[in-house]
Amino acid sequence: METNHNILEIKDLSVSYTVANVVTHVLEKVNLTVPKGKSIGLVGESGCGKTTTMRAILGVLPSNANIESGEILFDGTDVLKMPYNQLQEFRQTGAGLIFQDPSSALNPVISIKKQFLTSLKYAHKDKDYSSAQLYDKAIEALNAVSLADPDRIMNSFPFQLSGGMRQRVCIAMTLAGEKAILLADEPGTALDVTIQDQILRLIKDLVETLDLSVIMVTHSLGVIRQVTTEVNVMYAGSIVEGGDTHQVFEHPSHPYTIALMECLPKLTGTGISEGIPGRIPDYDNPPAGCRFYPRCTYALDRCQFEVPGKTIVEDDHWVACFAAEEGKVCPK
Amino acid sequence: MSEVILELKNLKKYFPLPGGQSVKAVDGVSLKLFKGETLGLVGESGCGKSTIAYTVVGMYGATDGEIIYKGTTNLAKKGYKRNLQQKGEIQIVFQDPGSSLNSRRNVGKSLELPLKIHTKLNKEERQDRIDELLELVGLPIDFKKRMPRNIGGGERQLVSVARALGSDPEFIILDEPTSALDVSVQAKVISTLIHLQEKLGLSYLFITHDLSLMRNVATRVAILYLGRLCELAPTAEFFHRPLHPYTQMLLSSIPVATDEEENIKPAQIISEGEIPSPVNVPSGCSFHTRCRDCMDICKVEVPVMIEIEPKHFVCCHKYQQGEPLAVEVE
Amino acid sequence: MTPERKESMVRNWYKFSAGGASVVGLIIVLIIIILAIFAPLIAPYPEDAGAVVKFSESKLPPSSKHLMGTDTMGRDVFSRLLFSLKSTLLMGVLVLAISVPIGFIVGVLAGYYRDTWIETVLMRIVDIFLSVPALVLALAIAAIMEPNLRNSMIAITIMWWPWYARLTFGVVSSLRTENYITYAELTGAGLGHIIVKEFLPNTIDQILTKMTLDIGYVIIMGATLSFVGLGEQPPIPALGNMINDGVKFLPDMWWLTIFPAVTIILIVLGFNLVGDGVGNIFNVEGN
Repeated sequence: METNHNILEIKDLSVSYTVANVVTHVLEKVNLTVPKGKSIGLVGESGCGKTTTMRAILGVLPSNANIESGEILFDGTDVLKMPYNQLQEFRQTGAGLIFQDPSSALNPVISIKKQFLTSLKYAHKDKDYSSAQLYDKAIEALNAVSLADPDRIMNSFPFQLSGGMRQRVCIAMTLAGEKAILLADEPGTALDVTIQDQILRLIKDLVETLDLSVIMVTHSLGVIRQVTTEVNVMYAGSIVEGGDTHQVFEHPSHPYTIALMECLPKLTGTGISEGIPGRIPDYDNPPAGCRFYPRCTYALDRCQFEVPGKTIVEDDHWVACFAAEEGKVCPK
Repeated sequence: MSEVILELKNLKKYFPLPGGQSVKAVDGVSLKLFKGETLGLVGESGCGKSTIAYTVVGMYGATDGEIIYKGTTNLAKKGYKRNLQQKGEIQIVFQDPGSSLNSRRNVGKSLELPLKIHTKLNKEERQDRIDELLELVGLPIDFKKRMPRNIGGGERQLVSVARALGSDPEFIILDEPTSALDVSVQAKVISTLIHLQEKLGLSYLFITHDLSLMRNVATRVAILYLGRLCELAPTAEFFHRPLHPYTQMLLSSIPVATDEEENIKPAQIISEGEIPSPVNVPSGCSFHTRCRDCMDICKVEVPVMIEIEPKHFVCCHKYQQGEPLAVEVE
Repeated sequence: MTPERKESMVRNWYKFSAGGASVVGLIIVLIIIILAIFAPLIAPYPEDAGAVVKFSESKLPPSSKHLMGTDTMGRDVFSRLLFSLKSTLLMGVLVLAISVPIGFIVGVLAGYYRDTWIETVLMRIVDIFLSVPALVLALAIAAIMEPNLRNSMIAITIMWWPWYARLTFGVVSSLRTENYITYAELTGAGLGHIIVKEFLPNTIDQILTKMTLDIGYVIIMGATLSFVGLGEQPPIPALGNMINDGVKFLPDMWWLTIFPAVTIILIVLGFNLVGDGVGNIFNVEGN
């Protein structure tokens, strides 16, 4: 078993949507790797393309989406080129998804037991487990997510459980399915902060104890810092900075990352910034060069026409920015 | 000594349920709002912060207690029956940018509404005032003709703020005004709100669940749990010496992005268990089911609000007997 | 006209005319309207629309002299048809012009006072009207009153308004708790403002679409009433009573029945196609 085995690799992925004869270039050469047993963050604000990226991984892009280029390698095989059967299998056994809103992730009129066992049946379809064995797996998973009285939970309906409990059930379903990779889409945002804290802690524990691989998609830098070991910062369809979470947070190098961190209200009471001037670019007519150029305080002339490549900042930290390359970016 | 704009005395709002029980959304809250300050109201779901907002602004009539506006009138039971001037002086900005503006009317028409009701300006003067309001919140004047769907969420919230200013209010209730917005957009909206407060001498009742935001915006912070106040203190004091166990739990669960902030947070308190429903409020201190410092008396007796330090109030049995057991932040 | 207004009108035209059928419908409707207005000038035998008897010309099949033949009293069918268009269109327009506002007011009040006794009372009244078969109700009302055009229009209006009440109620009760409505109430806006400025713009799309589609059905209802003798009384021609006169003579004097019947079909088809086009304007919202 290789130690640096990547469970998922997205290479140069470009995706566009066609709406009423207008083509919007949403993702532009996105690169992302998830090493096995690690928790990777994908952080960005609304409209940056993180949802599109997740959907691309699972193969559930809407019909008007076009994959312009790139590949998504799950354990070496390109998901984008999988035939339907193989794709189904990937979704059933390979990747699990935790939604932002646990209320809509579970069917309100079907008991937990039924939903859980159905999902396990598909997850383990090649192993021929009996119903009793699947049930035991479910109970084991419910215990692993610290839900007291798992039998009662199994016999309940989603509306009888609180938001935090529902989210744990969703996590348990992924665990019991023994999926290789977990995609978490803002897993705590719809919950209260103390409950969110419990959920995030749980995910972090599971990554450490069970060697789970996770992609954490969020807009919250705080969540990234708490749960992930590596982070990718996304802006307007491309990843602008990435690397070890601690290094990126200590020395943010991309003007967008720096501005974003400045916008965060801090517990230390440093005040509120004025925000980032401008808006995200029009995807149907994106800038030729760096997409952050119109809003960037460090912009150089070449930024308008050329797309920056990766510059290494520290041993596990890179940035895609010409100004940073030339050492002209100075955060306060 | 600042003027007291608003005072809540033992405010209660219960919503009756079929079957005799009721949801005790607000269960005896007392506090004061001073002119020119921003009072932050923080809490998780079921704590009653939105109910307080809606009762103060007049959507509901209170079940019990008083709402004293400007020292004289008690608005508590009036609900919608307030007079026009009161309606104009107390304004509100809602959380959801999607439903705050009528999607079939352009921005200018939405802004014109408070002007028509609360001012005696003629049509032309109203248009001038609309231009002024847009400028005040930092939006371009040509937004007048735009429809809500063609402007972003942050911009819609700024329009809501401009609309609230249209009646020259004394104080504005901000009900999670930026919770649905991205961080960079939130920064713009909040900084605009702060500028406006300085410029126009407004008082804010700022409701949110985001403590980091509160740290930078509020002059005083109040924490609510299941309809009752736990702690109330000036901001710096509050974050420097949080006393109530719930406050400490809340502060320790915030995800923060820097090491410095991590060091400011109280020592990690693993919050266990679920938030009880406001229909079945636990007996005694409502927090006792999740409190790591729970004592026998907590299960039985409701604690009283006492002033530990000047202006720092706590409602907790730990501090009721003799020396306060203050928790120093590391 | 500001450039934005012009641009939005052009856009609306494109949406309306997508597919072409709705333009065909529009042409049909416009032709009918012109014929109805200019009937006295176009009709070759305008006097035939009144009490006239020309036995020498009676029961003639269609020819170059009488495009649609003549009836038992020698009256030119084509001329009578042209004159009947006026009451047909008037029926459609007037009935809706009255029943839509009534339905809107009832629906908006029921929706605004949702979950109170007002809603209950109003919507139960609506339910009662809707539970009686439309035609029976119209017949009963028209039969009680003296049979003429005005009373048949009243009868149809009475049974038509509840549909608009229900439509409006649906939209308004779903918007009742939107923040902008709450804001208007909290800031002191009166009920008048809320109904006209806040709710009406949100309901107008659905109401207009339904209205254009409904004209056809109102016209059929009116023709049905005049077919059974309620509505325009002889000798004034109406599509319904013309068909009634001709039915007895089928299949021999087929022209007495077929032409008025085809006219009804064309009118209703025209309005339905226009209604589809109008629906397209409002339904397709760009993403």
